[in-house]
Amino acid sequence: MPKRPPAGFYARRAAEGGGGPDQPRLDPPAAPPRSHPVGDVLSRITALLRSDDQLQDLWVEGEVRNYSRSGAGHIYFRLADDGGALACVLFRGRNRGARFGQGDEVLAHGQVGIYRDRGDLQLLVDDVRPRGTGVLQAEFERLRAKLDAEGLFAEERKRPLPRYPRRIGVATSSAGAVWHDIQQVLDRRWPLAALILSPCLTQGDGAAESIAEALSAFAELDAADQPDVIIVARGGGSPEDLWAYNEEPVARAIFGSPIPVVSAVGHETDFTIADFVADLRAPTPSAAAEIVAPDRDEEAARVRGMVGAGGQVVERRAAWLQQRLTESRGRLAAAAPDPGALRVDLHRRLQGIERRAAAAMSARGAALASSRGRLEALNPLATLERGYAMLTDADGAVVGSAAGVALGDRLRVRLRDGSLGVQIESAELGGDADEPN
Amino acid sequence: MSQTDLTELPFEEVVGRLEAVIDRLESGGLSLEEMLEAYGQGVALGARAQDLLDQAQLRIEQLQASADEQAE
Repeated sequence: MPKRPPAGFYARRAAEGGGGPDQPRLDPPAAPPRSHPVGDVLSRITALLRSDDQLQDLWVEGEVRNYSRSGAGHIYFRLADDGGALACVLFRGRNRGARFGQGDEVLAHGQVGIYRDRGDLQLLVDDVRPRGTGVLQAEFERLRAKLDAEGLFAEERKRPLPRYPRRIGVATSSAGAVWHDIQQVLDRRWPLAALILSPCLTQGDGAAESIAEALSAFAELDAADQPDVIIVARGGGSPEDLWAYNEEPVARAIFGSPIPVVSAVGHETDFTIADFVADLRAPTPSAAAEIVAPDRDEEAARVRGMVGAGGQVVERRAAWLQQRLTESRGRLAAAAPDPGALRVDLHRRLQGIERRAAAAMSARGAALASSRGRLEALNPLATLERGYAMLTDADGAVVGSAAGVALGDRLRVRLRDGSLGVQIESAELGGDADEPN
Repeated sequence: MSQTDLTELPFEEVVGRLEAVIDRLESGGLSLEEMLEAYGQGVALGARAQDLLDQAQLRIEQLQASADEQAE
Protein backbone atom coordinates (compact mmCIF):
# COMPACT_ATOMS: atom_id res chain seq x y z
CA MET A 1 0.00 0.00 0.00
CA PRO A 2 1.79 3.15 -1.08
CA LYS A 3 1.49 5.89 1.52
CA ARG A 4 2.05 8.31 -1.31
CA PRO A 5 2.71 8.12 -5.07
CA PRO A 6 5.75 5.95 -5.74
CA ALA A 7 8.04 8.86 -6.61
CA GLY A 8 8.21 9.67 -2.88
CA PHE A 9 9.60 6.26 -2.11
CA TYR A 10 13.07 6.96 -3.48
CA ALA A 11 13.34 10.21 -1.58
CA ARG A 12 12.32 8.55 1.67
CA ARG A 13 14.67 5.59 1.30
CA ALA A 14 17.56 7.95 0.57
CA ALA A 15 16.77 10.03 3.63
CA GLU A 16 16.70 7.01 5.90
CA GLY A 17 20.11 5.89 4.64
CA GLY A 18 19.37 2.29 3.73
CA GLY A 19 18.69 -0.77 5.82
CA GLY A 20 18.51 0.86 9.23
CA PRO A 21 19.90 -0.26 12.55
CA ASP A 22 17.55 -3.15 13.31
CA GLN A 23 18.25 -5.42 10.33
CA PRO A 24 19.14 -9.08 11.09
CA ARG A 25 22.88 -9.58 10.81
CA LEU A 26 24.88 -12.66 9.95
CA ASP A 27 27.77 -11.79 12.30
CA PRO A 28 28.30 -9.86 15.48
CA PRO A 29 29.65 -6.44 14.38
CA ALA A 30 33.19 -6.97 15.66
CA ALA A 31 33.57 -10.70 14.80
CA PRO A 32 36.35 -11.87 12.49
CA PRO A 33 35.24 -12.81 8.97
CA ARG A 34 33.82 -16.30 8.29
CA SER A 35 31.95 -18.06 5.47
CA HIS A 36 28.15 -18.50 5.27
CA PRO A 37 25.76 -21.04 3.70
CA VAL A 38 24.06 -19.70 0.57
CA GLY A 39 20.65 -20.15 2.19
CA ASP A 40 21.61 -17.87 5.11
CA VAL A 41 22.70 -15.17 2.71
CA LEU A 42 19.44 -15.43 0.79
CA SER A 43 17.50 -15.34 4.07
CA ARG A 44 19.21 -12.12 5.10
CA ILE A 45 18.48 -10.53 1.73
CA THR A 46 14.86 -11.68 1.96
CA ALA A 47 14.59 -10.24 5.48
CA LEU A 48 16.03 -6.94 4.28
CA LEU A 49 13.49 -6.79 1.45
CA ARG A 50 10.59 -7.73 3.71
CA SER A 51 11.49 -5.06 6.24
CA ASP A 52 10.87 -2.39 3.64
CA ASP A 53 7.13 -1.54 3.50
CA GLN A 54 7.56 0.15 0.14
CA LEU A 55 9.23 -2.80 -1.53
CA GLN A 56 6.44 -5.08 -0.30
CA ASP A 57 3.67 -2.99 -1.84
CA LEU A 58 4.59 -0.92 -4.89
CA TRP A 59 3.84 -0.07 -8.47
CA VAL A 60 6.64 -0.36 -11.03
CA GLU A 61 6.40 1.19 -14.48
CA GLY A 62 8.21 -0.06 -17.60
CA GLU A 63 8.08 -1.88 -20.91
CA VAL A 64 7.25 -5.58 -21.02
CA ARG A 65 10.11 -7.71 -22.42
CA ASN A 66 10.90 -11.47 -22.56
CA TYR A 67 7.18 -12.23 -22.17
CA SER A 68 6.44 -15.96 -21.79
CA ARG A 69 3.60 -18.07 -20.46
CA SER A 70 4.26 -21.45 -18.83
CA GLY A 71 2.14 -24.56 -19.35
CA ALA A 72 0.81 -24.07 -15.81
CA GLY A 73 -0.48 -20.61 -16.74
CA HIS A 74 2.15 -18.50 -14.94
CA ILE A 75 3.44 -15.45 -16.81
CA TYR A 76 7.15 -14.52 -16.77
CA PHE A 77 8.48 -11.23 -18.16
CA ARG A 78 10.91 -8.40 -17.53
CA LEU A 79 10.02 -4.78 -16.87
CA ALA A 80 12.65 -2.56 -18.44
CA ASP A 81 13.47 1.10 -18.97
CA ASP A 82 16.63 3.12 -19.52
CA GLY A 83 17.65 2.46 -15.93
CA GLY A 84 17.64 -1.35 -16.13
CA ALA A 85 15.39 -4.43 -16.03
CA LEU A 86 13.50 -6.24 -13.27
CA ALA A 87 12.45 -9.91 -13.48
CA CYS A 88 8.71 -10.36 -12.89
CA VAL A 89 6.42 -13.33 -12.32
CA LEU A 90 2.63 -13.31 -12.31
CA PHE A 91 1.40 -16.61 -10.90
CA ARG A 92 -1.80 -17.91 -12.36
CA GLY A 93 -3.77 -17.74 -9.09
CA ARG A 94 -2.88 -14.08 -8.56
CA ASN A 95 -3.71 -12.92 -12.04
CA ARG A 96 -6.95 -10.91 -11.97
CA GLY A 97 -7.41 -11.25 -15.70
CA ALA A 98 -4.73 -8.73 -16.64
CA ARG A 99 -4.25 -8.54 -20.43
CA PHE A 100 -0.85 -7.41 -21.60
CA GLY A 101 1.92 -8.65 -23.83
CA GLN A 102 5.39 -8.18 -25.23
CA GLY A 103 6.35 -4.52 -25.72
CA ASP A 104 3.43 -3.05 -23.73
CA GLU A 105 4.09 -0.10 -21.45
CA VAL A 106 2.55 -1.14 -18.12
CA LEU A 107 2.25 -0.49 -14.43
CA ALA A 108 2.81 -3.65 -12.40
CA HIS A 109 1.89 -3.94 -8.70
CA GLY A 110 3.51 -6.42 -6.35
CA GLN A 111 6.27 -7.13 -3.85
CA VAL A 112 10.01 -7.48 -4.39
CA GLY A 113 11.55 -10.79 -3.31
CA ILE A 114 14.20 -13.40 -4.09
CA TYR A 115 13.76 -16.47 -6.27
CA ARG A 116 15.90 -18.69 -4.04
CA ASP A 117 16.69 -21.45 -6.56
CA ARG A 118 18.58 -18.95 -8.68
CA GLY A 119 19.16 -16.10 -6.28
CA ASP A 120 17.35 -13.82 -8.70
CA LEU A 121 15.69 -10.63 -7.52
CA GLN A 122 12.13 -10.54 -8.83
CA LEU A 123 8.84 -8.71 -8.58
CA LEU A 124 5.97 -10.99 -7.49
CA VAL A 125 3.23 -9.31 -9.51
CA ASP A 126 -0.47 -9.28 -8.49
CA ASP A 127 -1.85 -6.59 -10.81
CA VAL A 128 -0.96 -5.15 -14.19
CA ARG A 129 -2.49 -2.02 -15.73
CA PRO A 130 -1.78 -0.09 -18.91
CA ARG A 131 0.71 2.67 -18.15
CA GLY A 132 -1.60 5.34 -19.61
CA THR A 133 -3.96 4.71 -16.68
CA GLY A 134 -1.88 6.74 -14.27
CA VAL A 135 -0.70 5.27 -11.02
CA LEU A 136 -3.45 6.76 -8.84
CA GLN A 137 -6.11 5.31 -11.09
CA ALA A 138 -4.25 2.00 -11.23
CA GLU A 139 -4.07 1.81 -7.45
CA PHE A 140 -7.72 2.80 -7.17
CA GLU A 141 -8.71 0.01 -9.57
CA ARG A 142 -6.45 -2.51 -7.85
CA LEU A 143 -7.78 -1.83 -4.34
CA ARG A 144 -11.35 -1.67 -5.54
CA ALA A 145 -11.04 -5.08 -7.23
CA LYS A 146 -9.35 -6.53 -4.15
CA LEU A 147 -11.86 -5.21 -1.60
CA ASP A 148 -14.79 -6.04 -3.85
CA ALA A 149 -13.55 -9.63 -4.01
CA GLU A 150 -13.42 -9.61 -0.19
CA GLY A 151 -17.05 -8.48 -0.01
CA LEU A 152 -16.49 -5.01 1.49
CA PHE A 153 -18.88 -3.42 -1.01
CA ALA A 154 -21.62 -6.04 -0.76
CA GLU A 155 -25.08 -4.53 -0.97
CA GLU A 156 -26.44 -6.97 1.59
CA ARG A 157 -24.20 -5.58 4.32
CA LYS A 158 -25.35 -1.99 3.80
CA ARG A 159 -27.20 -0.95 6.93
CA PRO A 160 -30.27 1.30 7.08
CA LEU A 161 -29.83 4.73 8.64
CA PRO A 162 -31.86 5.66 11.74
CA ARG A 163 -34.96 7.67 10.91
CA TYR A 164 -34.53 10.09 13.80
CA PRO A 165 -30.84 10.13 14.83
CA ARG A 166 -30.29 11.43 18.35
CA ARG A 167 -26.52 11.64 18.02
CA ILE A 168 -24.74 12.25 14.73
CA GLY A 169 -20.98 11.65 14.50
CA VAL A 170 -18.80 13.54 12.05
CA ALA A 171 -15.24 12.50 11.19
CA THR A 172 -13.56 15.44 9.48
CA SER A 173 -11.15 18.27 10.10
CA SER A 174 -12.18 20.68 12.88
CA ALA A 175 -10.74 23.56 10.85
CA GLY A 176 -12.42 23.15 7.49
CA ALA A 177 -15.58 24.64 6.03
CA VAL A 178 -17.06 21.13 5.94
CA TRP A 179 -17.58 20.97 9.71
CA HIS A 180 -19.09 24.44 9.68
CA ASP A 181 -21.46 23.57 6.82
CA ILE A 182 -22.65 20.37 8.48
CA GLN A 183 -23.40 22.27 11.71
CA GLN A 184 -25.38 24.89 9.79
CA VAL A 185 -27.46 22.37 7.88
CA LEU A 186 -28.37 20.38 11.00
CA ASP A 187 -29.02 23.52 13.07
CA ARG A 188 -31.60 24.54 10.46
CA ARG A 189 -33.07 21.13 9.65
CA TRP A 190 -32.75 18.88 12.70
CA PRO A 191 -31.58 20.62 15.88
CA LEU A 192 -33.08 17.79 17.95
CA ALA A 193 -29.82 15.87 17.49
CA ALA A 194 -26.45 16.21 19.15
CA LEU A 195 -23.56 16.63 16.72
CA ILE A 196 -20.26 15.02 17.72
CA LEU A 197 -17.00 15.84 15.96
CA SER A 198 -14.19 13.31 15.89
CA PRO A 199 -11.43 15.44 14.41
CA CYS A 200 -8.94 13.97 11.92
CA LEU A 201 -6.58 14.82 9.09
CA THR A 202 -8.22 14.78 5.70
CA GLN A 203 -5.15 14.80 3.45
CA GLY A 204 -1.39 14.24 3.42
CA ASP A 205 0.85 11.85 5.31
CA GLY A 206 -0.98 9.78 7.92
CA ALA A 207 -4.41 11.06 6.89
CA ALA A 208 -5.77 7.56 6.17
CA GLU A 209 -4.71 6.32 9.61
CA SER A 210 -6.10 9.48 11.24
CA ILE A 211 -9.49 8.99 9.56
CA ALA A 212 -9.54 5.34 10.64
CA GLU A 213 -8.75 6.37 14.24
CA ALA A 214 -11.47 9.01 14.23
CA LEU A 215 -13.96 6.31 13.21
CA SER A 216 -12.86 3.83 15.85
CA ALA A 217 -13.02 6.62 18.48
CA PHE A 218 -16.80 6.68 17.94
CA ALA A 219 -17.06 2.92 18.34
CA GLU A 220 -15.06 3.08 21.57
CA LEU A 221 -17.51 5.48 23.25
CA ASP A 222 -19.95 4.19 25.87
CA ALA A 223 -23.12 2.92 24.25
CA ALA A 224 -25.09 5.94 25.50
CA ASP A 225 -22.59 8.36 23.97
CA GLN A 226 -22.19 6.57 20.66
CA PRO A 227 -23.68 8.25 17.61
CA ASP A 228 -26.49 6.52 15.69
CA VAL A 229 -24.86 7.42 12.40
CA ILE A 230 -21.46 8.74 11.28
CA ILE A 231 -20.60 11.11 8.44
CA VAL A 232 -17.09 10.71 6.99
CA ALA A 233 -16.63 14.01 5.21
CA ARG A 234 -14.12 16.04 3.31
CA GLY A 235 -14.48 19.05 1.02
CA GLY A 236 -13.56 19.15 -2.63
CA GLY A 237 -9.97 18.95 -3.87
CA SER A 238 -7.64 17.35 -6.39
CA PRO A 239 -7.50 13.55 -6.72
CA GLU A 240 -4.25 13.68 -4.72
CA ASP A 241 -5.97 15.73 -1.97
CA LEU A 242 -8.75 13.16 -1.72
CA TRP A 243 -6.36 10.22 -1.90
CA ALA A 244 -6.54 9.18 1.76
CA TYR A 245 -10.18 8.14 1.18
CA ASN A 246 -8.95 5.61 -1.40
CA GLU A 247 -6.60 3.93 1.05
CA GLU A 248 -7.11 0.56 2.61
CA PRO A 249 -7.07 1.62 6.30
CA VAL A 250 -10.03 3.94 5.70
CA ALA A 251 -11.93 1.24 3.81
CA ARG A 252 -11.28 -1.27 6.61
CA ALA A 253 -12.31 1.23 9.31
CA ILE A 254 -15.59 2.01 7.58
CA PHE A 255 -16.23 -1.68 7.02
CA GLY A 256 -15.47 -2.42 10.67
CA SER A 257 -17.60 0.38 12.11
CA PRO A 258 -20.48 -0.96 14.23
CA ILE A 259 -22.27 2.32 13.46
CA PRO A 260 -23.68 3.05 9.97
CA VAL A 261 -21.42 5.34 7.95
CA VAL A 262 -22.35 7.91 5.32
CA SER A 263 -19.46 9.00 3.09
CA ALA A 264 -19.27 12.52 1.69
CA VAL A 265 -15.90 13.13 0.08
CA GLY A 266 -15.22 15.95 -2.37
CA HIS A 267 -17.73 17.01 -4.97
CA GLU A 268 -20.58 15.13 -6.52
CA THR A 269 -18.40 13.73 -9.32
CA ASP A 270 -15.70 12.37 -7.01
CA PHE A 271 -15.94 8.68 -6.17
CA THR A 272 -13.63 7.12 -3.60
CA ILE A 273 -13.14 3.64 -2.20
CA ALA A 274 -14.69 4.99 1.02
CA ASP A 275 -17.89 5.66 -0.94
CA PHE A 276 -18.07 2.04 -2.04
CA VAL A 277 -17.64 0.67 1.49
CA ALA A 278 -19.93 3.19 3.23
CA ASP A 279 -23.52 2.25 3.99
CA LEU A 280 -24.56 5.28 1.96
CA ARG A 281 -22.71 7.76 -0.25
CA ALA A 282 -23.73 11.40 -0.16
CA PRO A 283 -22.68 13.60 -3.08
CA THR A 284 -21.35 16.34 -0.78
CA PRO A 285 -20.90 16.93 2.98
CA SER A 286 -23.91 19.28 3.09
CA ALA A 287 -25.97 16.65 1.31
CA ALA A 288 -24.82 14.10 3.90
CA ALA A 289 -26.10 16.37 6.68
CA GLU A 290 -29.47 16.49 4.92
CA ILE A 291 -29.56 12.74 4.33
CA VAL A 292 -28.83 11.62 7.91
CA ALA A 293 -31.72 13.50 9.51
CA PRO A 294 -35.28 14.52 8.64
CA ASP A 295 -36.30 18.14 8.17
CA ARG A 296 -37.90 19.93 11.13
CA ASP A 297 -40.56 21.71 9.06
CA GLU A 298 -41.47 18.58 7.13
CA GLU A 299 -41.80 16.62 10.35
CA ALA A 300 -43.99 19.33 11.88
CA ALA A 301 -46.23 19.23 8.80
CA ARG A 302 -46.36 15.45 8.97
CA VAL A 303 -47.33 15.51 12.66
CA ARG A 304 -50.07 18.08 11.96
CA GLY A 305 -51.25 15.93 9.08
CA MET A 306 -51.47 12.84 11.27
CA VAL A 307 -53.45 14.63 13.98
CA GLY A 308 -55.72 16.12 11.31
CA ALA A 309 -56.28 12.71 9.74
CA GLY A 310 -57.19 11.32 13.18
CA GLY A 311 -59.66 14.16 13.68
CA GLN A 312 -61.27 13.45 10.31
CA VAL A 313 -61.70 9.82 11.19
CA VAL A 314 -63.50 10.79 14.39
CA GLU A 315 -65.62 13.39 12.59
CA ARG A 316 -66.61 10.94 9.88
CA ARG A 317 -67.66 8.43 12.51
CA ALA A 318 -69.62 11.06 14.47
CA ALA A 319 -71.39 12.23 11.29
CA TRP A 320 -72.26 8.65 10.42
CA LEU A 321 -73.63 8.02 13.89
CA GLN A 322 -75.65 11.26 13.68
CA GLN A 323 -77.11 10.16 10.35
CA ARG A 324 -78.01 6.77 11.75
CA LEU A 325 -79.65 8.41 14.74
CA THR A 326 -81.72 10.68 12.50
CA GLU A 327 -82.80 7.74 10.36
CA SER A 328 -83.69 5.68 13.40
CA ARG A 329 -85.83 8.48 14.80
CA GLY A 330 -87.69 8.66 11.49
CA ARG A 331 -88.34 4.96 11.48
CA LEU A 332 -89.41 5.04 15.12
CA ALA A 333 -91.85 7.91 14.46
CA ALA A 334 -93.29 6.03 11.48
CA ALA A 335 -93.73 2.89 13.51
CA ALA A 336 -95.33 4.52 16.64
CA PRO A 337 -99.28 4.38 17.02
CA ASP A 338 -101.26 7.65 16.53
CA PRO A 339 -103.33 8.33 19.72
CA GLY A 340 -106.23 9.85 17.75
CA ALA A 341 -106.37 6.91 15.37
CA LEU A 342 -106.09 4.62 18.31
CA ARG A 343 -109.14 6.24 19.93
CA VAL A 344 -111.15 5.90 16.74
CA ASP A 345 -110.05 2.31 16.40
CA LEU A 346 -110.89 1.59 20.02
CA HIS A 347 -114.32 3.14 19.62
CA ARG A 348 -114.94 1.10 16.50
CA ARG A 349 -113.88 -2.07 18.24
CA LEU A 350 -116.09 -1.27 21.24
CA GLN A 351 -119.06 -0.70 18.96
CA GLY A 352 -118.39 -4.01 17.33
CA ILE A 353 -118.29 -5.72 20.65
CA GLU A 354 -121.58 -4.07 21.69
CA ARG A 355 -123.16 -5.07 18.40
CA ARG A 356 -122.05 -8.62 18.77
CA ALA A 357 -123.24 -8.65 22.36
CA ALA A 358 -126.67 -7.31 21.37
CA ALA A 359 -126.93 -9.85 18.58
CA ALA A 360 -125.96 -12.58 20.97
CA MET A 361 -128.55 -11.37 23.47
CA SER A 362 -131.37 -11.31 20.93
CA ALA A 363 -130.42 -14.74 19.62
CA ARG A 364 -130.52 -16.00 23.14
CA GLY A 365 -133.98 -14.45 23.59
CA ALA A 366 -135.28 -16.26 20.49
CA ALA A 367 -133.81 -19.51 21.73
CA LEU A 368 -135.49 -18.91 25.07
CA ALA A 369 -138.91 -18.37 23.40
CA SER A 370 -138.44 -21.52 21.40
CA SER A 371 -137.54 -23.40 24.54
CA ARG A 372 -140.64 -22.13 26.20
CA GLY A 373 -142.74 -23.50 23.30
CA ARG A 374 -141.08 -26.84 23.68
CA LEU A 375 -141.70 -26.82 27.40
CA GLU A 376 -145.30 -25.94 26.76
CA ALA A 377 -145.69 -28.93 24.45
CA LEU A 378 -144.41 -31.17 27.22
CA ASN A 379 -146.90 -29.86 29.79
CA PRO A 380 -149.44 -32.75 30.36
CA LEU A 381 -152.18 -30.27 30.98
CA ALA A 382 -151.82 -29.16 27.39
CA THR A 383 -152.63 -32.74 26.34
CA LEU A 384 -155.87 -32.48 28.24
CA GLU A 385 -156.72 -29.51 26.03
CA ARG A 386 -156.62 -31.88 23.08
CA GLY A 387 -159.22 -34.23 24.63
CA TYR A 388 -157.19 -36.69 26.57
CA ALA A 389 -157.89 -37.52 30.26
CA MET A 390 -155.51 -38.07 33.11
CA LEU A 391 -156.25 -40.57 35.91
CA THR A 392 -154.93 -39.89 39.40
CA ASP A 393 -155.26 -41.78 42.64
CA ALA A 394 -156.37 -40.50 45.98
CA ASP A 395 -152.96 -39.10 46.60
CA GLY A 396 -153.00 -37.19 43.32
CA ALA A 397 -150.40 -39.48 41.71
CA VAL A 398 -150.89 -40.25 38.03
CA VAL A 399 -152.16 -43.75 37.38
CA GLY A 400 -150.57 -44.93 34.12
CA SER A 401 -151.08 -48.74 34.53
CA ALA A 402 -154.09 -51.02 35.05
CA ALA A 403 -152.06 -53.24 37.28
CA GLY A 404 -152.05 -52.06 40.85
CA VAL A 405 -155.59 -50.79 40.63
CA ALA A 406 -158.10 -52.84 42.57
CA LEU A 407 -161.81 -53.11 41.98
CA GLY A 408 -163.65 -50.58 43.97
CA ASP A 409 -160.71 -48.10 44.10
CA ARG A 410 -161.77 -44.55 43.88
CA LEU A 411 -159.81 -42.50 41.36
CA ARG A 412 -160.17 -39.09 39.82
CA VAL A 413 -160.28 -38.33 36.13
CA ARG A 414 -158.93 -34.94 35.14
CA LEU A 415 -160.38 -33.44 32.03
CA ARG A 416 -159.83 -30.13 30.17
CA ASP A 417 -162.19 -28.21 32.30
CA GLY A 418 -162.41 -30.13 35.60
CA SER A 419 -162.24 -33.54 37.26
CA LEU A 420 -164.65 -36.39 37.96
CA GLY A 421 -164.60 -38.96 40.83
CA VAL A 422 -164.91 -42.57 39.53
CA GLN A 423 -164.95 -46.06 41.09
CA ILE A 424 -163.36 -49.03 39.37
CA GLU A 425 -165.97 -51.64 38.38
CA SER A 426 -163.94 -54.07 36.26
CA ALA A 427 -160.39 -54.65 35.22
CA GLU A 428 -158.78 -56.61 32.37
CA LEU A 429 -155.06 -56.76 32.10
CA GLY A 430 -153.38 -56.95 28.68
CA GLY A 431 -154.97 -56.30 25.34
CA ASP A 432 -155.37 -53.05 23.57
CA ALA A 433 -156.65 -50.55 25.89
CA ASP A 434 -157.87 -48.55 22.94
CA GLU A 435 -160.21 -51.35 21.85
CA PRO A 436 -163.65 -51.02 23.30
CA ASN A 437 -164.87 -53.92 25.45
CA MET B 1 -50.24 7.05 29.05
CA SER B 2 -50.41 10.15 31.17
CA GLN B 3 -49.53 13.67 30.11
CA THR B 4 -46.51 13.82 32.39
CA ASP B 5 -44.99 10.81 30.65
CA LEU B 6 -44.90 12.70 27.35
CA THR B 7 -42.35 15.25 28.44
CA GLU B 8 -39.88 12.45 29.20
CA LEU B 9 -40.13 10.92 25.73
CA PRO B 10 -37.74 11.63 22.84
CA PHE B 11 -39.22 12.81 19.55
CA GLU B 12 -38.92 9.39 17.94
CA GLU B 13 -41.04 7.81 20.68
CA VAL B 14 -43.64 10.59 20.62
CA VAL B 15 -44.04 10.29 16.86
CA GLY B 16 -44.08 6.50 17.08
CA ARG B 17 -46.95 6.65 19.58
CA LEU B 18 -48.78 9.20 17.47
CA GLU B 19 -48.50 6.92 14.44
CA ALA B 20 -49.83 4.01 16.50
CA VAL B 21 -52.81 6.10 17.70
CA ILE B 22 -53.68 7.19 14.16
CA ASP B 23 -53.35 3.60 12.94
CA ARG B 24 -55.81 2.52 15.65
CA LEU B 25 -58.23 5.26 14.69
CA GLU B 26 -58.06 4.42 11.00
CA SER B 27 -58.30 0.68 11.53
CA GLY B 28 -61.97 1.07 12.55
CA GLY B 29 -63.36 -1.22 15.20
CA LEU B 30 -63.29 1.42 17.93
CA SER B 31 -66.40 2.72 19.62
CA LEU B 32 -67.00 6.46 19.43
CA GLU B 33 -65.88 6.81 23.03
CA GLU B 34 -62.66 4.91 22.35
CA MET B 35 -62.11 7.02 19.25
CA LEU B 36 -62.51 10.24 21.18
CA GLU B 37 -60.10 8.96 23.83
CA ALA B 38 -57.56 7.94 21.18
CA TYR B 39 -57.99 11.22 19.36
CA GLY B 40 -57.34 13.07 22.61
CA GLN B 41 -54.09 11.15 23.01
CA GLY B 42 -53.19 11.95 19.40
CA VAL B 43 -53.74 15.66 19.96
CA ALA B 44 -51.56 15.59 23.07
CA LEU B 45 -48.80 13.65 21.27
CA GLY B 46 -48.96 16.00 18.28
CA ALA B 47 -48.65 19.01 20.56
CA ARG B 48 -45.67 17.44 22.34
CA ALA B 49 -43.95 16.65 19.03
CA GLN B 50 -44.49 20.22 17.90
CA ASP B 51 -43.00 21.50 21.17
CA LEU B 52 -39.93 19.33 20.71
CA LEU B 53 -39.48 20.61 17.16
CA ASP B 54 -39.96 24.23 18.19
CA GLN B 55 -37.72 24.18 21.24
CA ALA B 56 -34.82 22.06 19.94
CA GLN B 57 -31.30 23.47 20.12
CA LEU B 58 -28.48 21.74 18.27
CA ARG B 59 -25.86 20.47 20.73
CA ILE B 60 -22.24 20.35 19.61
CA GLU B 61 -19.65 18.01 21.14
CA GLN B 62 -16.10 17.20 20.19
CA LEU B 63 -14.02 14.12 20.93
CA GLN B 64 -10.41 14.62 21.90
CA ALA B 65 -8.33 15.36 18.82
CA SER B 66 -5.73 12.81 17.79
CA ALA B 67 -2.08 13.83 18.03
CA ASP B 68 -1.97 14.28 14.26
CA GLU B 69 -4.95 16.59 14.19
CA GLN B 70 -3.64 18.69 17.07
CA ALA B 71 -0.29 19.07 15.33
CA GLU B 72 -2.03 20.29 12.17
